[in-house]
Amino acid sequence: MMTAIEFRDVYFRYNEDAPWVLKKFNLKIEENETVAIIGHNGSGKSTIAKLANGLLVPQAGDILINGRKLTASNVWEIRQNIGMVFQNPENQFVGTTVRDDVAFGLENRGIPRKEMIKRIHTSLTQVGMENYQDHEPHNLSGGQKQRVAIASVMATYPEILLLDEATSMLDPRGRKEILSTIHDLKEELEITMVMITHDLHEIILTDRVIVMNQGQIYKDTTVDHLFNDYQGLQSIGLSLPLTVELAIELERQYDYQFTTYPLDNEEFLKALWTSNLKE
Amino acid sequence: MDIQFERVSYTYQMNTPFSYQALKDINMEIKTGEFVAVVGHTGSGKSTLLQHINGLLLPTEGQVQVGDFQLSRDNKRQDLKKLREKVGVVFQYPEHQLFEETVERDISFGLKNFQIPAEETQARIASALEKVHLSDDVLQKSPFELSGGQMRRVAIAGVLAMDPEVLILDEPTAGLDPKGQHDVMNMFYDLHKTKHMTTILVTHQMNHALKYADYIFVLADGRVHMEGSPEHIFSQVESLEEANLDIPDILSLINQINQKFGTDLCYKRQKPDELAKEIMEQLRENKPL
Repeated sequence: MMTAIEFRDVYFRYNEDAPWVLKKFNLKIEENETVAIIGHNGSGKSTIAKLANGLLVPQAGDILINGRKLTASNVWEIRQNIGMVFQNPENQFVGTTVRDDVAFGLENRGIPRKEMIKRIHTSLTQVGMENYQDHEPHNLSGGQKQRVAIASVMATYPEILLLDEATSMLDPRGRKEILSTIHDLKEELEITMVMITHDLHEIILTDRVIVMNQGQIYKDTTVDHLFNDYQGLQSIGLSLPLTVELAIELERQYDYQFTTYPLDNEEFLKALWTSNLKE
Repeated sequence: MDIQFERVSYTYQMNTPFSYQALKDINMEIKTGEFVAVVGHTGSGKSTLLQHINGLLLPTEGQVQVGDFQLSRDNKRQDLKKLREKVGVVFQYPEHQLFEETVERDISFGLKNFQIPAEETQARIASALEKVHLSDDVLQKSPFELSGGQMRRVAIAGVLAMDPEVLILDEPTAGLDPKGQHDVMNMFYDLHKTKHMTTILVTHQMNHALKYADYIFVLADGRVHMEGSPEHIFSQVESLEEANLDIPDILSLINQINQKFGTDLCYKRQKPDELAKEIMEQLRENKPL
């Protein structure tokens, strides 16, 4: 298997007087993995995404994308393989219609018109926005805007998709739309996905969770095991989902034993049901 | 300061092809010292509504009464300065409005604009900083050197330094991490409790509306779709659906438990340990077979 993203002894800080955001930082993300990077504000998680697609340049160390070292001369070429979706849906539109917007990235890459039309249709279908081709982006809801932003990126056939807090500015409905879009993309395509987030609902979709704290990897684990060390997560400023909090209380007050903590209502109900039968 | 909306409608770009009616016949009453949440889906009219409370927008029909101030379409703009001193608005992403060279100058900007006597400035700044839990060694720093969470606190301090009687919060936690959200909301709740500040929280986070508000207005399509206590509002799942809103996480969990196990749990702002206890007690009582 190929390594999609690799950081080797990376040092980064925003300016010479500032403290290191990343210090001797190492990370490997394999091809087709879906990874969440979580951490409190200022833990270095967004910096990782911006370094990976060359928006920021490290002071020392190497960043490799698909085994190739990212340099000033190949950053434009390598960036073609990495699609990035940012936090604010308002800031990523260039076209006057949804179709033009998706076309923009394709025009930049010199994709022939016939192929372009096909790709626009496919990528908008992937995000459930195929009926909005002629709509003006500013009339869309936040969730719809972010879905178009994802379609614009997907139309360029990236090998890696980076989502930098892509749901954090959306209302709950918009957030759900994006989560189901991400879920579908993961099912349908072979793509490496990295989600920078502090939304625990997003984490549920991933194979692997990396917890950042003070520019270091605090924990590299899976969703199922993430909350086993809940005290640790709380101590670095992360909060627990309600179902995990309740499960912890059940363990503390009663003789419950959870092998994995329930991450949503369904899992919590199932755990209650099973143990209720046993008693 | 009591706040009252009487048959308020507002139309953007009236008499143009782009005219758009954002508020339709709004009636609303907010009493002094209440903590009210205004919730609604994106585009429901929340932000338009809040701008009526300090006169940034004047109703195209009807009138808004804020304390002694009456706002209607023929108000003269200059009448509003006194009102704006009393009604503080924390806009979305307030840190985007920071612009001064130092934190101290940024906080004192509003004070100067409102001609607060210079000898009061220092005391006002100190007390505002204390309210947002920042220490005074940030005063001489550039606001742009601070972290996102700190910048937001500085911006909020600028509003609090005016000693407003009414505080309007437009999505005050957007973009903060969960701990930051918790800290900021608790800070506002403390101010509300200790200073009896009338607080109007505009949000699409139902969890916050449930946790902090005494009373909730649900907006949909520019109208007041529902109003009432959190308990009342969140028991009407279908009506919320119509407004494109979901019930808070904790209530959906409690409802699902009740459905599956025939229990009779209800939400009374329990902490997780109390709720876990109630769940177990009820499950043991209701044990099937």
